[in-house]
Amino acid sequence: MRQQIEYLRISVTLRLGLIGIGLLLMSGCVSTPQFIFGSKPPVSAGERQDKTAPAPAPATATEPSVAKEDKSSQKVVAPPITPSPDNVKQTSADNSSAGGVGGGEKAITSPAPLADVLSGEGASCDNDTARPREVEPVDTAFIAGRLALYRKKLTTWNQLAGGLVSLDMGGTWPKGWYSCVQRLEMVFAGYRRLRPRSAIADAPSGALAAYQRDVEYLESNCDEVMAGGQADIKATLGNFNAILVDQAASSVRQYLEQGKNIEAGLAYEHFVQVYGKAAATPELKIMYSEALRRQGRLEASLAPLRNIWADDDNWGIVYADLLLADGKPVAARKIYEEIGKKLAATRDNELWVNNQLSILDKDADSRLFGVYTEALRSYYRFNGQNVSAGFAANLAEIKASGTTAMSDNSRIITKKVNSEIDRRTDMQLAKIDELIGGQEFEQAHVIVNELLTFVSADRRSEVMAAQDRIEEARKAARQGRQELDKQKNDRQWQAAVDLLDRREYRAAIGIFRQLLKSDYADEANAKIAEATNMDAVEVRRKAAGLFFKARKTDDPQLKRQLLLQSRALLQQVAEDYPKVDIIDKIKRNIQVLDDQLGTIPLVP
Amino acid sequence: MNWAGTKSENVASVWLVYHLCDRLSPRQFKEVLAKVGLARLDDESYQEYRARIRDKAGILIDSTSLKRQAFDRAVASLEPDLLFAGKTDDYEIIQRLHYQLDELVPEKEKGHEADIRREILQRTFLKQNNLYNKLQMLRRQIESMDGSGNWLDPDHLAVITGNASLYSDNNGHYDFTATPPGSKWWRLTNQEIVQAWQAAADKTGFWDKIHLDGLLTAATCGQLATALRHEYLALKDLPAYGPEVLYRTRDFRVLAGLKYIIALCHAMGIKSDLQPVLSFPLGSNVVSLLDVARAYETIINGKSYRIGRLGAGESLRIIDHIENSDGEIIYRPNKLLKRVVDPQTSLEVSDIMRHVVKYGTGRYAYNNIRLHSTDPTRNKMFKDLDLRVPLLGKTGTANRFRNSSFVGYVPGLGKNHKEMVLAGGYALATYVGFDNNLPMVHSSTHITGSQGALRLWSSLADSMLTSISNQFDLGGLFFTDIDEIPLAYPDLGQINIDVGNGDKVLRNVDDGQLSYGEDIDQKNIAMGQKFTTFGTKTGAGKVSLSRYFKPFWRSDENASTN
Repeated sequence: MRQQIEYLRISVTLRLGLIGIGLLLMSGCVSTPQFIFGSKPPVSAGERQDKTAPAPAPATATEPSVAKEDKSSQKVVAPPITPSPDNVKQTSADNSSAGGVGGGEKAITSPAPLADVLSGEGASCDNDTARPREVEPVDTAFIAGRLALYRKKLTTWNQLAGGLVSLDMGGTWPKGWYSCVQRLEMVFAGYRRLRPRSAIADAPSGALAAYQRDVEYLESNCDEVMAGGQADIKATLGNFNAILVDQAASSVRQYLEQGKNIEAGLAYEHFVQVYGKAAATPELKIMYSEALRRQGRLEASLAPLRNIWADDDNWGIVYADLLLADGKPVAARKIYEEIGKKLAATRDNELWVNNQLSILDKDADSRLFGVYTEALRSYYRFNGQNVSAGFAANLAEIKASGTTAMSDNSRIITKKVNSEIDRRTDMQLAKIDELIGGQEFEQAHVIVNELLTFVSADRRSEVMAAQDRIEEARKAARQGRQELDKQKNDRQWQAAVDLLDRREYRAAIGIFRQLLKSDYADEANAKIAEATNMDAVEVRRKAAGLFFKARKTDDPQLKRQLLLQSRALLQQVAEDYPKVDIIDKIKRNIQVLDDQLGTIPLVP
Repeated sequence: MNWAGTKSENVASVWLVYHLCDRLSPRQFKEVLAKVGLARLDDESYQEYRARIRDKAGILIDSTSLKRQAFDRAVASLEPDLLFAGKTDDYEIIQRLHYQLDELVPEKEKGHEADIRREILQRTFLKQNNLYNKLQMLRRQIESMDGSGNWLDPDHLAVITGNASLYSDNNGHYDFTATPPGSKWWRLTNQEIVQAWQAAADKTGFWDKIHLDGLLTAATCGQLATALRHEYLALKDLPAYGPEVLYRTRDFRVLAGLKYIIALCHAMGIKSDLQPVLSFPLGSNVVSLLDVARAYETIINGKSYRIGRLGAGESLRIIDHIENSDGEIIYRPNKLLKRVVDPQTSLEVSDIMRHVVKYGTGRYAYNNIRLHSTDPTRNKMFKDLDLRVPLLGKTGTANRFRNSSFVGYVPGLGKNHKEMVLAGGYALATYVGFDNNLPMVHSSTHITGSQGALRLWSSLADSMLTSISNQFDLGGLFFTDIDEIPLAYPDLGQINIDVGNGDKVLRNVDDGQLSYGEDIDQKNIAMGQKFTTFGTKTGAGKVSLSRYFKPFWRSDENASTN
């Protein structure tokens, strides 16, 4: 990068010098200024990496003679070059050759051509060549190339920004993001302004500015910022997907644990619908298959396993068992054989697989085979709690038959079923204790009732004991709550009585009202009645005092004010305490006040 | 009370003692009772408590005391009715009406005061009610008169009405009284009463508007009697010595207030025997001069000082310490300090006593005591400045001028030596009287507190100021127009109410709301420049006074309004 920037600086320095010469030439000196914009475009790291980027074609369109004469300049245009001291040197040489001043071999690293031009060497002062038209056919292809490059960068940045926003990373933009975007837009805008040819002729300083900004962009670490942003997005997306899958798996697992098989299936399907099948992990698929099996949808439960059974022998066995149960012995055999060959299964699995193979070899045509496959179907429909009707009878019949392989596998099935029931029982009992701790007694009862539907007889007493624990805890909690309530009520009662004692009636009434649903209800009611009556009497006394003052004053305004104050007090009592003993008196007093107010002329 | 203290209004002090417990809530009153030994003890039966209160404390609750209490309640309940009915005259009368007054004014007592006392004794509900009952009997007789025009027997009517008769002023006003109301009134004959009644458009109103002995109207008296009956019926079923009745019994409340004052006096270090009598503020209890000095020191500083063992303390410390021949200290008295009066109360009472000296009976000290120095130059400066000294005190004069006293306080010097402060001063008490307790009267000369003891006190106080004078920083005083050395009060959140030199007056104190302003009213109080109190200024000329419950056992707590 450093070399590339150095190259561009040299290039731009050269161009600045040449533009100066161009300006001089335009003002009268003959020169060949067409080389001014005929150099190769600066090459950025982004360009090196992006092979699909449209290569700028500066020389071919505008400088055919140079392109023909110097093939090296063609070489650096497309494909993009990787900057090195050599090609920097090469490019500089191209510049000089494009100017037609020096030879192709000559490297220009200083404004030497300017001196040459000024001394007239290699150039003639021709009025025709000094006309603007010689400036106009400058390197529009170069500009177009830069524009295309920066448009692509801008597009990439915008997509990147969109990605960051969609991932809710707006609050943590990569460092330097804003300044880079601004810089990028300025470079792009600078080149855009140069597209019309006249713009170059009319405002060569604009071209300089565009170059300068281009250089500044390349000198900055903006491409690194962009690369960092992309990495962030990738990492975040990865985390995001992992979280999604974890959440989905957790949700499906929870439903399965709770025996909510339909909900488990729906949770998976919803996940796939939103995030696509590709997002579903094998673990999710296994759980989905299990959910389907528990719903009795054996055939459907095969599909999720189809592409993953080979990843794990256990999954493979399940898949093969299901095929067998579903009446697809050939397919099942293939898988059993495959697994058997791998010898990677556990001893149980091995035994199971060998038995299954033996059954397929020897008993496939027997009457018991149908019973066995029915039992196998029931087993795979087992929802962790209840088995279908006839399951136990089928297993008993098989065990009684003496058929070794079928009997052995029937025993394995029985053991697995019992083990699963025990596991679920343990889990639910633990859950009950957890709920008791959280004082969620109703929920605990629901689980007890659920447990009683499937718990084995020898563990029934544990469930009953759990039920007793719930009742004891509920009772203790109730007592504790009652004690707390009582203490709180006692405190409130005392506070209210104190307030009443201090004649703070309204505050006291407020607290007494809070006690209406407590053991203090009767006393509180009585106190409320007492307090309201006392408050009403006291307020009425104040209102009477104001009325008295109003009668004594000759100032109509003051009289009116006092009467209104008196009325407001009484009105408040009438509204707040409509059932006080003196309510009739209060209403009559309000009428008296209204009469008095009616006699006072309104002062304009 | 500021005014009462300044003007030496002893009656106001008695009034304060009488109503000391009136504003207490039941809980606060109960707390006071417990502290002064009037509450029922935990292990005391009702009978035992009743015996203690009735037989030892002398609080007798019988039907009369219940009726007095019922009367107080009836008056309270009737007041708003009277006001809203526009019966403001009746309202004002009822506020000063007593249920019953047993005292008699001896016939031989003459003069304005005796007349007032006799008039007050007439203002009783029982007398009013007696007239009311007679009037009602007269009314029934007249209203039941048949239409034949036969007049009832005048002798019978005279028996009914006794010596009371109906008088008219010829302006539609009637007074039913045994005493002729005045020269403009004439006594109606029975025939004239009937004619007046028959001529009245409102027959019932005719009777209702008749005044009883120039006081209440018959209607109001009837209302009051009905309310009293109602209240009495409610009270008489309650246990007489239970809190519902006892706590509202006036005598009991007054006793509690007096017991509190005695307890406070003891807490302040007064060792003299004190009796709970309502005349306490008038000086009916004999107290030693040392006790009074000790009490003033405590009131102003809020703290009681004791020397010696706890509980056996004396406040006089003559011996600072005793050393043996080796210089070893073998005795040094313990100095004990206990707050008895809360700072707010101390400040307010100090302010009252300051006004006594400045505007009241202690003016001699204010007018004559000045700072002075032994240094001639400084002394001349003091003389040129002629600054009065802020002093605190109160005069006392015994009945018939048997003795006079002045107890006061010389404030201390402030830390900056530019002002005086309450802390660090001296309580000083003086007494003048004969050993044989004869009145200090000679022809027209009567030795009062301000004439006898105050002169002596002023002389002593003046000499005590020498130390302060020598330290006082005079710088800057020459450039001020003050005529009194500033007395800085501690900042306790107090407010100063400027009532001017009499052109501004206190206007009204109503339910804790104090108004003051420039309206001059005969009834209002002219005061000095300003006084200090606690409360919140609620507007121009208005203050909402603080009310707080700070008995001496709570004097260490922060003040809380209640």
